[in-house]
Amino acid sequence: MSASKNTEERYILLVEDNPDDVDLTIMALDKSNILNEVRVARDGEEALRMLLGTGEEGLDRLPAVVLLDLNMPRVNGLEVLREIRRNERTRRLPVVILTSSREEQDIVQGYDLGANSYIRKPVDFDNFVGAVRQLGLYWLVLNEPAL
Amino acid sequence: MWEPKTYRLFQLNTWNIALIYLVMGLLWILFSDRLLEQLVNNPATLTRYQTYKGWFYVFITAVLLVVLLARYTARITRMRKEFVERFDLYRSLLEQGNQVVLQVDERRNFIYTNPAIREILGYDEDELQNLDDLEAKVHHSDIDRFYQIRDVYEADERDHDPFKKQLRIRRKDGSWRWFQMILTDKRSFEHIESRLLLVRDVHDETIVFEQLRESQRRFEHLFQEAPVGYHSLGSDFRIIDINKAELELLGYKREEVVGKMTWADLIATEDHPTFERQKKDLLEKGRAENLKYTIVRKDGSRRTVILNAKAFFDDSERLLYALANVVDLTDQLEAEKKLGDAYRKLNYHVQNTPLGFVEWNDRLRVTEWSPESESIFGWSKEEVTGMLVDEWRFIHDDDAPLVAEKMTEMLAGGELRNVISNRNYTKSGNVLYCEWHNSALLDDQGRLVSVMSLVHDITDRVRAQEKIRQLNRSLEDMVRERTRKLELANKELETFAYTVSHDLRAPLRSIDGFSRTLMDQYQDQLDERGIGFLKRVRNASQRMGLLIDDILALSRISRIELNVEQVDLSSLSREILQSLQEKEPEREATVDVDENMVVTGDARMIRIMMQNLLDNAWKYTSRRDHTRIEVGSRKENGNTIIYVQDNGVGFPMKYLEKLFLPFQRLHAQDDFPGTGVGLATVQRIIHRHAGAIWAKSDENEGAVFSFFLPDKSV
Repeated sequence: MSASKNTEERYILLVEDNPDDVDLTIMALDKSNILNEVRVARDGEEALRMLLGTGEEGLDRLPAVVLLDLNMPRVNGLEVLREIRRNERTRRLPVVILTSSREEQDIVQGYDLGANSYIRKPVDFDNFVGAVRQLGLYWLVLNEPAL
Repeated sequence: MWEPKTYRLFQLNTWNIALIYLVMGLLWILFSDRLLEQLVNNPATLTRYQTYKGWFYVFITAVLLVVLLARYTARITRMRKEFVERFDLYRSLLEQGNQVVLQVDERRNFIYTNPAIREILGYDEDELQNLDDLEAKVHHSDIDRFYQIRDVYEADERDHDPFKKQLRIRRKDGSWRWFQMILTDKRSFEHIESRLLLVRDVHDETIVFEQLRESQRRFEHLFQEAPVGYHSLGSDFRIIDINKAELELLGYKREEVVGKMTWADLIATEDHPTFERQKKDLLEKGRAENLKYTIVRKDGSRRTVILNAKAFFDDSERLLYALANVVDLTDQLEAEKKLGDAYRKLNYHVQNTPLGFVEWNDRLRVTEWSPESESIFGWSKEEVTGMLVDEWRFIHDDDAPLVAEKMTEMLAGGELRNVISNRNYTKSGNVLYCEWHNSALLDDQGRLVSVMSLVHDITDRVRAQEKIRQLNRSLEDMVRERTRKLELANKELETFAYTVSHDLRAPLRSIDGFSRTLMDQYQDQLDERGIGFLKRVRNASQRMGLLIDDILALSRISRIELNVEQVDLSSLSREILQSLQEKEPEREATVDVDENMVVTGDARMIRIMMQNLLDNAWKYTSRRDHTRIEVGSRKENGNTIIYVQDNGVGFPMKYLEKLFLPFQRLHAQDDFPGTGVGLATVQRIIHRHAGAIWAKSDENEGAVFSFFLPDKSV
């Protein structure tokens, strides 16, 4: 099994309720030549169903990284993170908080709940592309996940 | 003495009788024969008659002789009887008298000793046989006097007056007593030359005399050393003696006064009439009492004295001398005057004090009740004088136990002052709140003399305080309500801030992101102008993003809690400046940061503050060829002032007041980009630390921002 194939099999789970942000994130990944699959959960509830659920909605395998927005209707990002860490199957899953908020309490709580990284989405799209590129490279290529 | 008279008469009679007998005999012999011859002529008869005449003469003579002898014998008998009686008298006097009589012969032996010796000296005559025996009994201190007696005895002087000496002799019972010894002249008796030595007990009178002398000495001492002035005046009212105290009082020396001055020389002229009265009183009444004089001391100063004098007269009522004592009243009078003044002053205050004044005696009965007390409580002084505090409806029933307890405590020797706040009734039955300031006055022995009370009617104050308490309570309620509302508002603000940070930024990102994508992917369908517009859209959205971030930062300054600690401002400044230099390594810059600048404050806020200040300094010096930034400190009025100085473009001072207002910019966005929130944030941080910040600049000459933070920030 080659490293590249292994890399191609890795996918990103994007948890984001804002369709603009979904598109912008995907465009940024494209622009950065990161061609890995991106699966999208439109809110926290869906994200949990996908990650923890079984059967039809449940994912066959875990993503390489979860890009998690915080401010979402129904179940917010921090609650999603808490559940991920609580679950035996997903507790070592890399989770990167990708959000507009720079509130200290969000950052602190995020890390407390076991976020692997905290990235603030810049308004400047060029900066955003730069951030996403680094993210993708890091988590999809460099990082060795726990199995 | 009885001896001469009778003897003389007796001798004269003997010669008279013999003379008369001789004359009569001659007359008889001469004339009787002649008469017979004339009467009788007869010789025989004559012879017979002559014989009868002879017998007659013999007979007459015999009768006369018998009469004379009888008288003589009777007189002798009478004399003898008288002599015996007298002898008995003298003997009994000698033997039972109160003195020892010793007859001493020339060989010093006592040839006669009267029986009184046993009683007076206790010795038998056998034990005291001569002068040497007596010498052995004489007190050794007095032995010289005894030798003087002995010397006189031996000097054989006949015409010496009776020689007297007093000395102590030890009696047989061992006691020493004073005796007077009198040695009489030498006399010859029954051919023996002897003297009489009389020994009389004078012990008691000697002791009395000694005591008298002692008391005289004491009097003399008392006179001289008495703290009171004494002088004595002779019969001419000249001062004949004066004691130390009075000399000191007068300022004269003894020799200047005694015998030279009268009292008149020592007193003020206006007191001379008083002295005249004194003399008159002494002469007429024997005493002069309580005379007040102003004396003039030697140095001219005056003092006030009081004089008492007593006169002493001789038997014929003539003035011998007078004794006067003089007491200096000056100090006492001054003290009395001061006391009087003090009393008048006190009384004035008591009567006029705005507080009520009440005085209680040692049994806590009212003795003083000032006019103000009357106006506070309504009772007049007459109504309450002599009353005990519980004898009229005065102290509020609920407070009576407290007052009783406090007063008992004070009288039991506790604190001599207390303050009791209690309620009192007025005469009309109203209730007053009063503050009683009580103090106990004790005498030297610590016994209570009186209690003085000052009463302050604090009813208005108490009512006002009650009102204030009510107001405070409603104020607290209000504050609580406000606080609750404020907390609510804060929460809303936080929610709002959160929403702003998240929700407002999201659309901006979309605007920017899609504009960018539009520019990239539809470049060929847009002309230059269209792309320009898209650039403007992106600039605007990015600037709005910055604005939102800054507004949030500013609001966060007000919201988060201070966590005060010591912050090393020197290394913080260096760190920030270094990162600025790293961002623009091409810029030439000299930075100068003082060592050891430490401030007290919230570390995160201080960092934000310094970041803003140094960002500005860096930004506004960007057009200089060489950037100079200095961070330093100086002491001013005990405060440490920190300043950040740059050589940038500065700002016009006329806009100083806008400098720290949010969104106020003094430079065009194109010249120096910025949101205008940075200095507002800096000021808010400083204010939250209760510090101050100010700025100074000359346009194009750089700017100085100075601030200080208190050591203990709140």
